This record gives sequence, structure tokens and C-alpha cells, in this order.
Amino acid sequence: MEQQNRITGIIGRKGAGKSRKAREILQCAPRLFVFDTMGEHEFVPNTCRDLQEAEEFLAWSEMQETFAGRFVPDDDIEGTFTVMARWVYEQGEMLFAVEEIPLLCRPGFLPPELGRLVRLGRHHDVSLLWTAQRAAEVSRTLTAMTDVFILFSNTEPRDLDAIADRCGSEIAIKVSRLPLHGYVVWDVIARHELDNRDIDSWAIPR
Amino acid sequence: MKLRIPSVWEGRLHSAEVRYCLSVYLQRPHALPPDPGAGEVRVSLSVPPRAIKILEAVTGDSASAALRRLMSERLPALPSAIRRPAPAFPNSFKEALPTSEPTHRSEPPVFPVPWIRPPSPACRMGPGAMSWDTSYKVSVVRACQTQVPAVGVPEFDLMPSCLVVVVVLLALGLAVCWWLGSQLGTESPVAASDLPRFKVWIPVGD
Repeated sequence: MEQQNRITGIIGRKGAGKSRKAREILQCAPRLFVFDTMGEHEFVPNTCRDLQEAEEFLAWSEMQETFAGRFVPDDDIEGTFTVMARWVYEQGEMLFAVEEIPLLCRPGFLPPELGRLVRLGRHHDVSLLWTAQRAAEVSRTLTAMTDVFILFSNTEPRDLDAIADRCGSEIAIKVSRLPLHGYVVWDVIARHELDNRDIDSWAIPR
Repeated sequence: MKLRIPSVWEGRLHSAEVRYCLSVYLQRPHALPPDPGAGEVRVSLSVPPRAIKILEAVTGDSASAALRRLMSERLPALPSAIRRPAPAFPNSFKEALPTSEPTHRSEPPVFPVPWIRPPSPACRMGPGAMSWDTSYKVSVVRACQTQVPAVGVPEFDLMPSCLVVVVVLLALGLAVCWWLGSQLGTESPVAASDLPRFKVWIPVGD
């Protein structure tokens, strides 16, 4: 069977540990590019602060077996994301991480470039990892296409409803009963929880 | 006196203007254009009878024809001239005019008029001037020659603009040189890919 790309979503309130968990996953990725909206992924060795730098980095990364870079947008988040998403799609073969994805989409709207990555990214071997504070704010198309959810503790009824719609009411109940920094890893395709010890195996396709 | 004038002159011929032209002509006689011909419009002008007699004698025409020839210098009979009429009176003449027409009309004609108009650049010695004394011709020629240096004035006015053009061209040249230098110093994305500008990435687990 053909190796599929992987779309991973991390949902949790502020301070729940989303960025920490995201970092654990991203550190295992051999080819990584982060759209670092919050500018907090300083572990990534190469930082691009404008599109020219990002273009040069991607040109350089094409000849590398492993690479990791991040783009920290200045002000025009949507405009720069559109360009970056197009470049990432065209280059392919990497894990593309997007922090705070509700800044770029709404429940009923997904930007075309992001939509292309979500729908057709597997043809270019582009995996996606996104984070959000609230499940109810994320595009339904994106949640429908997500393969693995990492759900942190949440008690907001609307968010629990959104989790229940996508992962089932049992998972929603479990999320509502989690401790402060607790989380659940839910595989949508296999419909069961995943073991956190094998994080790199299920988050990053090899 | 009453006379017929071309219809295009209707409303544009005034006694004061005719008197002014008559006095100027009698001080500086010159060749007059041909008679435009009696038109359909009749006008009544208040002009000094003695001056009209002299004009008749100088031109050899009737009073009406001589006046029409005199005024055709100022009021061309061609319709195209109507679209762009020249000012009928110079401002200095308007200021010199008497305040009320009837008062002036009752006074005896003053001849020659004490006010002397400076010679215009267009003055030329024509066939009609040959019958006048040599001192007059010399004065007319000198008056025309005095206008010649005025032709050279614009050349001196052009000097600052030439300097500005030279300065602007120099500035443009410097700007182009600076741009070329900056372009040569900039590394293209292809060249950047050859340099070890970006840091390598070793993912966790490798």
C-alpha cells in the first residue's frame, strides 16, 4: 500500500501543552518547515522572516536529505501563508506545521492553498500538523481530513460537541475528564487511541 | 462720421479705439493692409475730422476706406480671427482714456497726441514710409533694432534649465551605477543554495 501523508491536529486551551507536544513531534521530522505564527519554535535552526529568505531556504533544502526551517510572519499572515503553502505544495516531501490555524481559517472556510495541501498533499508527500485552541474554530473540512487528533483537556461545551462530531462522544467525554495537562491521541482511521511512546511512528510517515 | 464695416467687426469697433489707432498711425505712418471692403454693418464713430482729412491724404483713399484699412490691422476680417480675438485695447490706453465720451467729443481734436506709444517689435518699413523724411526712417529702424537684443534674452534664461538638466542626468547616472553595483553584489537564490548559509538539521531518533 502506498505510503500516505499524515495530517495531525493538536487542540487544547492556552497553556495546556500544545506547543510542547508539537515540538516533540516536529523534532522527529527529517524534513520540516514550520509556519511559526507565534514565533515560539526556536528549536528550529533556520528562521526566515521574509519571503525571499524562505524562498532561498527552500531552494537550499531541495538538495538536503534533512532540513528544518521556520517562517515567522510579520504582519500579513494570510498573504504570506498563501505564498508559503504554494511553495511547500510545489516542493513536496516535508512535514508542514502551522501554529494557531484558526488565524487562517474559519469553521466554514478553508483558504484555497491550505485546502489544496489538505486534499492533495498526499500526492506530493506533504504531511501537515496544525494546532488550535478551540475545536469549534477550525475548518470542518480540515478536521474531516485530519488523521490523528491530540486532544488536550477541555470543558467548553461547543468544543466538546465538535470533538464528539469528529471523534465520537466517548472521546469527548474522556477529554472533558482529563487533568490539566492531560491529553488523548485518537487515530481517526483505526478508531482507537494511540500510545504516546511511539509518537514519531504515528505522527510522521517514513 | 458713419461708415460701413465688415459684419465680423460688429460690436468690436469703438470710437475710442479708432481714435487711438488714428493717432498712432499719424505719428508713425506705415503701410496699411488693403481695404476689407464695405460690409453690411453701419456704424457711427466719433473721430477728429482733421485727422480723418490727413488720413485721406496719406492713404489716397476715401475716409471710410482709409478707416477700414487702418482698423483692419487690429481687427482682421477673417472669421478665424473672431474665435481668438486679440484684446481691443491695451490696458495702458484704457487708463489714459477720458472718463466720459461726450466730454471728450465736445473738445477740439488734439493733434498730434502727446502720448507716444513705444514702437512694437512688429514695426516694419513699408512702401508707404518711403515718402517720409530720413530721420523718421532711421528712428523706426533703430526702434526695430532695439528689439533685437531681446531675442537673445531667452538664451540666457535657458542656462539655469540646462544646468538643472545636467545635474538631473548626473544624478540618474549615479543612481544607475549604484543600482548596478547593488545588483552585482546581491547573491541570487541559486548562488545562495551553493553556500553553507543554512544550518543542517538532525532529527531526533536518527
